[in-house]
Formats: sequence, structure tokens, C-alpha cells
Amino acid sequence: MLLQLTNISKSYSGRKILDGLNLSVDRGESIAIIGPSGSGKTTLLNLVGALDQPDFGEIIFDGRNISGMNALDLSAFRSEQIGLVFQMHHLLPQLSLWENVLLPTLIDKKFQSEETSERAKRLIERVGIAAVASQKPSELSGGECQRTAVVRALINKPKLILADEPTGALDQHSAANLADLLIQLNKEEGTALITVTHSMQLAEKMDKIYELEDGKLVEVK
Amino acid sequence: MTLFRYIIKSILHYAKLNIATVLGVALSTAILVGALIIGDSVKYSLQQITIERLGNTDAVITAGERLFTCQLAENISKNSNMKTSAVLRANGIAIVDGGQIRVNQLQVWGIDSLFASFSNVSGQFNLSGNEVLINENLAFIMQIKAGDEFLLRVNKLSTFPANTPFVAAEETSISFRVKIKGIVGAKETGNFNLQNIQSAPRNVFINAEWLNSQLGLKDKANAILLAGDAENSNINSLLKSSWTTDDLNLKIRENKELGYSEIISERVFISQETENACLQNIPGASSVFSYFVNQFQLHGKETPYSFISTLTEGVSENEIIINEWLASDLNAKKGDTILVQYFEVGPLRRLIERDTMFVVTQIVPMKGAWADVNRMPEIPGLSDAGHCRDWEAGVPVDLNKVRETDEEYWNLYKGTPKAFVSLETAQKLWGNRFGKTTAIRFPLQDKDKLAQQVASVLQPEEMGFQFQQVKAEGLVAASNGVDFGGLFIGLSFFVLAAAILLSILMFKLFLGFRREEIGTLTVLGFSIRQVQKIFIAEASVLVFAGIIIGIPFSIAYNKLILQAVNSIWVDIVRTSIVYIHIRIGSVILGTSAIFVLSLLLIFFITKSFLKQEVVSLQKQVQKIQKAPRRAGKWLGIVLVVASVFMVFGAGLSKGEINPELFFISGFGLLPGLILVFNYLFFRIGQPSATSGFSLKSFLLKRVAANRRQNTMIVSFLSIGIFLVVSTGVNRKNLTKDADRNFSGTGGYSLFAETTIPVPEDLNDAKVAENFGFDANTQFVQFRVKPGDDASCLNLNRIARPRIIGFDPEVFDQRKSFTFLVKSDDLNVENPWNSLNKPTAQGYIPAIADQTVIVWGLGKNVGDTLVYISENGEKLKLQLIGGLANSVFQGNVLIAEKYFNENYPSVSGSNLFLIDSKSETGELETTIKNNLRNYGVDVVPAAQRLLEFYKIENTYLNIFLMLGALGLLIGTIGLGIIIFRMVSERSNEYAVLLALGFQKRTIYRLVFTENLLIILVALFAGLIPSVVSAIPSATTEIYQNLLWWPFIISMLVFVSAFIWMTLSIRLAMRKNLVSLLRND
Repeated sequence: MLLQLTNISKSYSGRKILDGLNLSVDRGESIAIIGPSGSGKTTLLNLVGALDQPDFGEIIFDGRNISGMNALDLSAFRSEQIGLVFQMHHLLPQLSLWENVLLPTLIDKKFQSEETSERAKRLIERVGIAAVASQKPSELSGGECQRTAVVRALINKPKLILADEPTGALDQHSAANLADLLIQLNKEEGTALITVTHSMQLAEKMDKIYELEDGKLVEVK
Repeated sequence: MTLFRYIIKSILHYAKLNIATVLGVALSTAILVGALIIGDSVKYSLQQITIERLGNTDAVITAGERLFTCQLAENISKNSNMKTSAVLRANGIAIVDGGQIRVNQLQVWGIDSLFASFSNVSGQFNLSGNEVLINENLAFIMQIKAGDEFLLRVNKLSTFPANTPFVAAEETSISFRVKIKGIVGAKETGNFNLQNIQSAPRNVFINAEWLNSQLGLKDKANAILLAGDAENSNINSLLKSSWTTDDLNLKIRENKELGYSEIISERVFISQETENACLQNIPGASSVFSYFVNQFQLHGKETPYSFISTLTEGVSENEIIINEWLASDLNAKKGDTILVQYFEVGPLRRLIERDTMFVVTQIVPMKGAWADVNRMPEIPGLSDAGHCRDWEAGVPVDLNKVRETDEEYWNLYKGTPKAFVSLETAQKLWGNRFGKTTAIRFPLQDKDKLAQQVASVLQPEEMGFQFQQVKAEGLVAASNGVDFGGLFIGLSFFVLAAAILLSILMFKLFLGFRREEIGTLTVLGFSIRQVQKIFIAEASVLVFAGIIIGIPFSIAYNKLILQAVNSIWVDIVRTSIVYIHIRIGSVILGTSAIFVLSLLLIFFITKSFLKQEVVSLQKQVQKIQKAPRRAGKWLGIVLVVASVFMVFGAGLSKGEINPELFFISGFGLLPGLILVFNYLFFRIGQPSATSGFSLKSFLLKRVAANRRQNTMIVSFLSIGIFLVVSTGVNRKNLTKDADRNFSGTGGYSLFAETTIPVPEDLNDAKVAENFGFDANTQFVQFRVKPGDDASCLNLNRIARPRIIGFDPEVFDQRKSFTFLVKSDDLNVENPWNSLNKPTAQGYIPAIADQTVIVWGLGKNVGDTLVYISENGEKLKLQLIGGLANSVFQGNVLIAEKYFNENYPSVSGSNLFLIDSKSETGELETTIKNNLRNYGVDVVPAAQRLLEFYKIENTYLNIFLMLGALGLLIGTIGLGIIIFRMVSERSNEYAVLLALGFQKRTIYRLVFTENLLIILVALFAGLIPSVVSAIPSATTEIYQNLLWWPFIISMLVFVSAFIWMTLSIRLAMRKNLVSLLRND
């Protein structure tokens, strides 16, 4: 098992968002989390991505409890174990696609190797943006940028990809392409995938679907 | 991909945004480095002025009021490896166009051809006859050119001090016509000056031989200029091996018949030091003291105006030996008691007639040693008179009392003493500050050998010779002078603060623009520290670029300031020669300071930004504005009410304006208004059940929604305006109490300074009548030991300011002046009288202005100043009190008795405080006319005080101007804040646009909102500023100051308006509709 969330609770301004939530994710498994707006999907993703801490409960990732980690360890954890993809691509406008992909490798020299460069090249080719890799985000379409964001998430070989409405800002065609790409990469790279989405089209492509209701996850597929 | 590449790409990508940060840093660098360069420039200029004013002169030998021979300079040169030049320095007055222009305080330098080698440019200083060279400063004042003539009046230098008892009070000055051969500039040593001061003197160079002849002297000098390795020379032994008795004003005489040799002095009295040295070191030496008495009286008979001399044995106290002539004239015999009447001569020729009874023990014949005419001292005007009627004594002589028989005696015996008393008695009765001996006698011996022996036993410092390394001391004084670097950093505080603030705001804006990027980096796994490092590294490049750009700007800023200092702000430097001097050390110091300061600020800003923003970014939490605290509202109201009450209640009580209360009111009003507006900003946004929702209420709600930012803008602008205006406009009203005794004028109406000392007591009825002053006019006369000016007019650091001596009692009687700091040695009831008693530590008490003590001398009350007295002794003056700003600024005051003891040959008074019941203007004219030959400059005492305040006021003007500039730069910061606020609310405008609002309406809404805030800020700043400025602005001399708050507010408004308009246009230029797409 890669990820185990046990009895997770989280409140904001007195309002309970997550309430005794439990979740297990295996290596290479893909999961979709659906639910109405405000149900706590992004909150859950932030907790798993070590961007926030639960009020109660335990998050065990690959045998390590991340709930008690300090800020520095959490940063290291994110850079090594997690890849994040958002609704907006959040590419840095001053960098080319190629440079944006390699941005996470600047965190530590251990990521900067010939192998990483080769991997970046391979992934860029794989997602079909090799021809525009030297261009800046402002010169490209939303789909191309979002695919770049996916490659950036994968560059450090994370064990888990967290995707928050990854297709939310894309047109239908681009969204379908990106959804397929995420699943294919999930299988090819053996990386687990948790996607938060309103799109049942995307959710249906995952191994499991959970719905977030009253702060708890209910398996619907 | 490397971090370096990432940083460089980021810098280039955000180039437009970065330019403002770079410019902010450049501006800070320009101000700070520019201020340091100003400091260096002034310091360098002072050093250059020192070098220019001294030419090649390294050191100087002076001997107080003593004149020595020019030969002494030649002998010193021969006996050493130094170049020397003897100069005869006098004080002078220039009279042009028949007296239409009179220029006082001239330095007249009698020079010989050797002076040329001390000049930076040789050749011009070969003068003959009545040819003179004048310096540019004097030429400018006199509006005169080469070839013109003018009348030069100089003080009558003579071998004896002007106040020497019995020496006739002949003319104190002489005048002669001179012709200008040329005008010499500063670089040609035209500003030759031995005083440490940067302002140009008024110099006249004249042929020394010709000046000597005009003064009735021959080959006399009073200063020797030295060039060379004076530092390592033993000046004392050099002087001793070079001088002769002529240089010490001593003459050797002999009387072979009576078998003695003797030394007498050209100064009439032989100094105590000379007497002691001879008696102790030369075998057979004995003192003779002869004195001119008014009369001998016995049995109703009187013998007028005679000399009396001394014996070392054969007569004891109260005994007298008389000659046969006197015995016959008075019909006296042994055992009779004779009354001897004589004058005791005090300072300023004050005469006190005293008498003493003596018992006749012997009547001696008129022959041999008893008829020795040499016992009569050589007194010009008296001893050399052919007849009694020709006497020109320095004491009143009633020639009607002189009988035929007296004339006969004079014809036969001249001033041969008619009586003899014991030396001890004579010295006790008639000894004075000039000496207690008129001759020292030795067994007959070779004149030359005796002269050598006398010259060898005397010590230079005891003879008043002083050696001063003027160049080295001048350079030290220049180096340690007023720190203009620090001063201009202070004066440019607002510009510097505004520039730093601008950089901070730009950097915050820069971070704000990159919030998303920071969030992305964080979620990608970059730690906060790594993000911080990236941004600090990026900012370092910007700071570095800003510094590099700022350096040339700093030089430009320095040039601008120095141009102002050399022209409109000349009052603060008192010279128009301030050169630009750039010291690499200062540039490195300034740029390093900016670099470190910028990085520190960037470090803390980034840290705080990351701490606040990243958390909210990650958690996606919106900041909620809280309501202001109720206590703040009430505190604001209380402050406003209390301030208004203070102005109308206490500040204007009894119809008089109390400046302190007005200032405090302004100071209280400012935070009061800010707190009240802060509450109002909140209040106007509160929902109202009755009123509808209009564009106006929408506007007010927007103001309320941004309450904290709006209050920040109001505080930022109003505090800036208030601080600049209240500091710059608050001026001391010196004219208000200037007629009161406790004020800096001491209650005296006039302050006068003469070029040539006035030898008489102007309070003496007869003297006053001679000068044409009425009996009501009271003078306080100050005797002056020349020294450096330690007032704020001098930028050099002075170690020994000018000493002035006076009778302090009168100030206690009038309770004149106010002491700011008192030591235990200062009597509380009669503080001035404390000057008459030695301090607990046994030093001479002294008083000076507290500002001079602290800033001019770098000392405190209780500290001591060390001088050298005229006889070479170390003189320790202990500061016992510090005066509030007074007309004495730059001087150290001591009691006349200590002054006379230590500087006996300083004659007359140069400084005067004058009080009279007469109309001041009339008295001023009378003094100007009647003391014109003394070169008098007379001003109302209050004006003298104002002269010192000119500097303070100029500094305040500079502060106001630079402060206003700082505020204008600050308005750019305001523009940045508005830009940021408008940018952050772009989505809101997009929604309004989507709802159907016209872009013009939205723009007007945003514009009105910000304009309202600026107007509130100006109101909150202007009102307290005006309140605090009222006391100064309502005085006659500072009336125009009231314009400053309005001018500054108007400038700030215009500038803020421009920046606000630009910012809003810039922020709203983007496609607002596109913002809606992602929502």
C-alpha cells in the first residue's frame, strides 16, 4: 500500500470539512474523487499533498507518517514523492516549456542528471509537445500548457500524482486527450493517481471512484 | 536549466517591474553616497583651504604682543634647515572714497621678499614703498582694483604694550595711503591666515620695511613663518641659539664711573620671568625698581612728579632715603614722615591714586650713586622730554603744579630719583602685571658677554614665544571639522526614507505579482527557504544594478548640493570654495550600506510575505478585514479635542502664543485625526436599513472595504507632511525676548567689535565725554586673547577658542544670560561671580555657550581646556557653566583678573556689550562715528544672535526643501500602492464590467475613491502642520514660513494626483473581461 489515510478530520472557521475520513491507495492505482463544490475535495488533496495538516488523523505514505513532518521535510517529501497538477497549469511565464519541466530538478542537485534530462525529453515527446518545448507558456494553447504541467509533475519520478480538476480549464477535446494521457502515464510510469474532478468522463477512466459526502469518502465504483 | 538561468530569465521577464525597484535602489544610493561625498568634499575643501591659506608655511613662531627683530628669522634659518620669513602683522581698517566705504577687520601683513617662497605662486610679493597686494575677498568687498589707492589705518604697534603704565596714550592707530599693486587669489596665498577658519580673511600685504617706518619702528616683526622639518626641530634651543637681547626688547647699558652694567627693557618694566632668571643665574645681579610718583608731601609742602627708586639694603619697610634737593625742597630732616602719593595703574588705564607714609632715615648728597640718572626708566614721552612741560605721561600730569625749581631739577638731573625705598616695599606697592623691576644691575662687565649671558638664561616660552605647527594643526582641525556627510544624511532623511520606501513597495509589488509563482514553487516541493533564496538572489542582482546606476547619480546629487552650498546655502559653510572630492572609501561604504540594508529589508519582506501569502495561497483562505477597535476611535476624539483645547485654551492664553503648546497640539492632532478617519472609513461602510444603494454608497463601501490600506495611505502622507513641515518651519523666535536680561543678549542693546583695541575705560565719565557718549551709556568691555572662532560659523574642529576676559560682576547684578548647564563650581545665586574664584580643582573657571562646549569643542561642563599663558605656563581653564545661546558663541569667557595675570601685554578691549537708555539706532550711529578709527562694527545684540541662527535656519530650509523632495518621491510610492490595490481588485472590476457598468464609470469610481483618500491625507497632515507652524509664522521675521505647509501640501497633491492617475490607468489597462474566464 502506498497511501493510508485514517480517521482524517479537518475544519475551517468552525466548519467541519472532513470528518473521520479513511482512504487507502495502492501503488499504481488510479482514483477519482468526486463531489459537489465545497465538499472538501481540494482540502483532501492538499492534505495528501502535504500542503496542509489534518486536525486529527494519520496520513501514512509509503510507510511514513507525514502528519508529524516539519516544513523542510514536507517540502522534500513533496519534491520526491508527489507530483501535483492543477486546474490552471501554473507554468512560470518567464521560462520555456522545457525549463518549466525541469524546474523541480532545481530543488536538489540529486535530481539534476543526464538521466533526468533524457527522461524529460522522453516525456515531452510522449505528451506531444516536443516541437514547442522551447516556447514560452504565453505562446501555447491551454492543452499544451496543461500537458507540460503533467510532465513537470512526473519529472522527479513521484510515486503519486495529485490532480485537482486537471481538465477543468480545457475544452472538451483537449480535456479528453489529457484524461487519456494521465491514465496512460499512470500505467506506463507505475505512478498512483488521485484526481479530484467534477467530470464523470474523467472519473470513469480511473480504477476507483469515491464520492465525498459529509466529510467522508464513499466508494461508488 | 540552472538556478542562475532561472533567476536571469525571471529578471528579464519582469524587466519593466524591476526597473522601478532598480531606480528606487539607485535613488537611495544616490542620496546616501551623495551625502557621504558631500562630507568628503567639505572635508577635502577645508584641507585645501588650509593648504591654500598657509602656502608653504608649516609652522609659526609668535611672541604675543612682543616685537622682535627681523634678524631673528634669518638666524633661525641659518641655524636650521628651515626656510623662514619674518612678518609684521597688524590689524587694519581700509577707508575708500573719503570714508564712504570703511572695511574693518583687515589683516595687514608686513612682508619681505622671503615671503614669496611661502606663497604658492612666487613673484608677486616683491613690494616696495606704499605698494600693497590685497586678496580677492577684500577687493570684492571694497569694489576696488589694481592701481587704485585707499587709506589704510593700522594699529600702532610698538615695542611696549599699549597699556604700559606711564607710557603716553599716543595715537592707537596710524593711517597712510597705499596703492594696490595687484589682487591675489586664494591659490596664490592671497587668503594667508594663521587662524583655523574656512572663510576668506580680508588681507593686505605690504612691504615690512615701509610698514616699520610708518609705525616708527625699524626691522621689527611679530611672527616668523617656518617651512621645513619644524616638527623634528627643537624650537626652544633653536630660538635660544638664534636670538639676541634685542629680540627680547632688552638693552644693555653701563656706567663705568659707578662700576655697573645693567639691562633695561624697551617695554619699561622687566618681566618677572626675566628678573628671576637673571637673579638666579647671573652672579651679582640685583633689581632696581623706579616709579613715577605724583608728589612728596611734608608740612604742607609738595614736590610734584618725581621718580623714586629702590635699594636692596640700608633701608627697611616704611623707611625712605631722600636726596638733598628733595630735603631742601620739603624742608625735611631725618625722622620726618613723608607722604608719597602715586597712581596705581589698573587695566584699561584705570588709575587709582594712593598714598603711603615713609620715615626719612637718611639725606644723601646729589652725587655718585645717589645721583644716578640711569635709575630713571626709559619711558617714551617722559624720560626723553627736554622740559617738564613737554612731558607726555600716560597718567594725568597737572603742569600747573610744576614749578621753576622742578624745571631746574629736570634740566640738571632729568628724572634722577629724589628718594629711595626698599626694593621689597616698592615691588609690593607698585609692582604691576608688566613687571616689578625697571633694571637689573650687574658688576661692570663686557656688554656683549653680558648680553649673551642674559639671552642664554632666558627661556623662549617664558618670554611669550610660542611655536605652533599651523599646517599640521590646521589639517587636523579640518579633518575633524563639522561632519557634513552625517549632516546631509540627516537632512536628506526624507529623500532617503522615500527612496528606500519606494524600493520596498516595488519589491512588495514584485512579490505580489509573483504570488502564483511562489505557490507553484512551493507545491513543487521547493522549501520556503529555497524560494526565499531564489528571490533574494534575484533581488541582489536588482540591488547591485541599482547601486551601479546610483553611483553617477550620487555624483550628480553631490554636485547639485555643492552648487547650492556654494551659492544659496553659503551661510552654512561661509566660503564659496567647496570642491567636489570623491573618496573611494566613502563610495564603498555608502554602496555597501545600501546593499546590506536592501538585502536585509528584502530578506525580511520576503520572509514575511512568504509566511503570510504562501499559507493563504496554499489554503486558499481570504483575508477578512476586521472592525477598528473602539478604543482607537475614542483615543482619536480625545486627542483632537485636547489639541484644540490646548491651542485655544493654553497656547493662546493671555493673548500670547506659546510655541511649545502649539507644537504639542499639532503633534497630538495628527494621530487624533488619523484615528478618527480610520474609524470614519469603517463607519461609512456599515449597512444602513433606510438608505438605498447608490453609486455613492457603493463608493463609500469600497473605501470602507479597503480601510486598512486607506488608513495606511492617510498615515503615510500626513505623517510625512507633518514631520517635514513641523520640523522645518519651527523656528526660534529670537527677537521676542531679546531685550530681556535672561536672553542671549544679556539685555544689552548693542554688540560691538573693534579692529584696533580701545585702550580706555569707556565707562569713565571723562573718557566717555571725550568719545561723545552720554552718561547713560554703559559698556561691558572684553579683552581678547586672539584665538580661533569656535562658533558655528567655523567648520573646523577648534581645540582652543578665543579667550575673552571681563569683569563678571555686572552680569550678576543684571542677572544677565541663562545657564543651561551648571557645575558645582558655579554659584547658584551669583553664577558670574564664580569666575573670580578658582575651581575646586584649582583651575581658572571659564564659561562658554553650551552649543560651543558640546558641538564646537566636543566637551562637557566640568572639562578643562589647556592654553599657554604669555609666560609659557600651562593654563587650565575649567568650564563651570554652559550658557543658552548667546552673543558670546565661539568664545570662552574668564574673569578679567585671570586674563590680566596670564596675558598682561594684551592691551585694551576689542569686544563690547552696550546698553543705554538712548534710542538704539542713534547710539549705534554715535558708536560707529566716534569709534570709527578703531574699526568698529556695531550691531544690535539681537541681530548678532540672529547671525548664528542664520546657519540653523539655512539647515532648516535645506531640510524643508529636501523633505518636500522626499515627499514627492514618496508620492511615487503612493502610486505603487494604488497600482497594487487596483490590480488586486481587477477581478472585481471585471465583474462590474460584466454586469454592464461602463469602463469609464468604473474608472471614475476608482479615481474618486483614491482622490478622496489623498484629500483626507492632505487634510490630516496640513491641519496639524499649520497649527505647529503658527508660532513661528506669526513672528515678523518668519512670516513667509506659513506658506510652506500650503506649498508642500499643494506639491504633494499635484504629484500624488499624477501618480495616482498613472497607476489607475496602468492597472486598468489590461483586458478585464479575460479575467472572468477563469472564474
